Amino acid sequence: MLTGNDVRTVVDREITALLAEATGESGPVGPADGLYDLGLDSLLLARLVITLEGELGVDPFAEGASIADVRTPDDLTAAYERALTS
Amino acid sequence: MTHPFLERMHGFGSSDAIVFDGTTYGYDDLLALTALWRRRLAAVGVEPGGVVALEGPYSADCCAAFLALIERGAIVVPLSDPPPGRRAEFHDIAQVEYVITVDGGRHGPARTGRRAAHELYGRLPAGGLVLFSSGTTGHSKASVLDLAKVLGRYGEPARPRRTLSFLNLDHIGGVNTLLHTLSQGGTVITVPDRTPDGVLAAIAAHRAEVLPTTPTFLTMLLVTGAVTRHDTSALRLVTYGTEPMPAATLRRITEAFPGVRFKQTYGLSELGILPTRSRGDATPWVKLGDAGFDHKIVDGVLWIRSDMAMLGYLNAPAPFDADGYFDTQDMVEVDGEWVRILGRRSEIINVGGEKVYPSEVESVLLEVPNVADAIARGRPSPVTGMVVEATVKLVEPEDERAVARRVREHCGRRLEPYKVPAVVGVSDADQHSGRFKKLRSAA
Repeated sequence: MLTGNDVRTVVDREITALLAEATGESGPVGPADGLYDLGLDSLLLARLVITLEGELGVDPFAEGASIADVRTPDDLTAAYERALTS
Repeated sequence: MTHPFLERMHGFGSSDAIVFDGTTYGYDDLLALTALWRRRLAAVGVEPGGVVALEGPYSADCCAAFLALIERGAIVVPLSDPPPGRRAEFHDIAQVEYVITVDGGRHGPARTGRRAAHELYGRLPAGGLVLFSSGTTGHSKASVLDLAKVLGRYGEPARPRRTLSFLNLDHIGGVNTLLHTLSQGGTVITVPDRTPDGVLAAIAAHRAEVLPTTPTFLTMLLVTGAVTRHDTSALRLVTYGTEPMPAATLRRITEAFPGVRFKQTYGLSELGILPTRSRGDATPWVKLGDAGFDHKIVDGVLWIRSDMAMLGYLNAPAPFDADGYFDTQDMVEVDGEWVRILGRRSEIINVGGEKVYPSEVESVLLEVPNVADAIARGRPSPVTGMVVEATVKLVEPEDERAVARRVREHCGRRLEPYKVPAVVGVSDADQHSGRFKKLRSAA
């Protein structure tokens, strides 16, 4: 069973990896940073959701959560935690 | 009275008509076999307009039965290789009254006990042809064509050529190859299996000059290395149709076959085969033929009017407009009098409002080293509606993550960001149908 910290670690790791691949650079990911400000455009965010589904085994956005409510890594982590515990 | 088509064939004497299983049959042999089938049809009392399923592999005997049915004025339902479990369904849809099976032995015509009464059959004064679409899922649509109009397309004998028959008689391409070649006094070379090596070996052994095929098959010739293993020096012309040609394949195949002309055709069982003129060998731009055909483009979609168009489907409404144009559902790009087929409207992947044609992405995927074949399709995304998902078949095993990274890097250099596959998977499964057409709906 993944704990909240684990989910957080996976979310951060995948954001960092995506940004590294897409832009060649990536700094630390702050929990309240805007995803868009970090450099995640819609296409990268779409990829992130697919990657996280592969890593965490759930897709909260296919189960009622709205991606429009997600602004930050914190929001994203919370969405996956809710899906994992529901 | 002999049918004019067969009358013409008498004039070709003993020149080669069909090669089947390594044996060459002259026109005289083929006509002798046709006479045998003529007697069998008469013995059972197959009447003009009778609906006859013709089943079995592509052989001289099968072609002879086909010719005898044409002469009889029958409605022919060629079922070379119906999908598993669907033979009975096809018989029901076509209201088959007689069955002929040619599989080494000769069976039939045998009565089924059905009486055909479809309204479309009443509009075929000189015989017909029923062709099923190759839908692998869902239902296959049955087009009804007027055989007199189909045969009317073939002009006076001008150029007898040795042509490899790639498609079977249950496909408009296969029927067209047979009838066109025989109308010209040429030779049809059949192959027992449509593997890259099998087809090229037949070209070498029987000096085939023309290969009508599909872009997917040409891709397979390249990735299997078959192009380098056979003597294709007799080959003069390769025609390809039924799906968009990946630019990478076209470029590489023209290099692999120097001196061979490449020509795109545009054929649909509903309309027949349109002659086209290519702008050049390594370009997908074509001018669509106008003799017997006419086309218009509405909202980027190609509509075609054809003299030999089907009368309709037996089991679906026909998408003709009031002026007789048929909705091909193919999206095209236009440059003056040239058109380029982009792909099926239904296969467009809409990524955040941007349109992506699978064929364009697949063409770029094929440029990636170690990629043998590739499929691009849409995958739902909560962010962009859809994203592009690629499934590649590899030449040599490779770590899936490494492949995905290389694929995305290459696509990132060659394509707009929204066209770059968000997901890249690896699969060993074949990505084409038995007719060598892309299977984008496959899992």
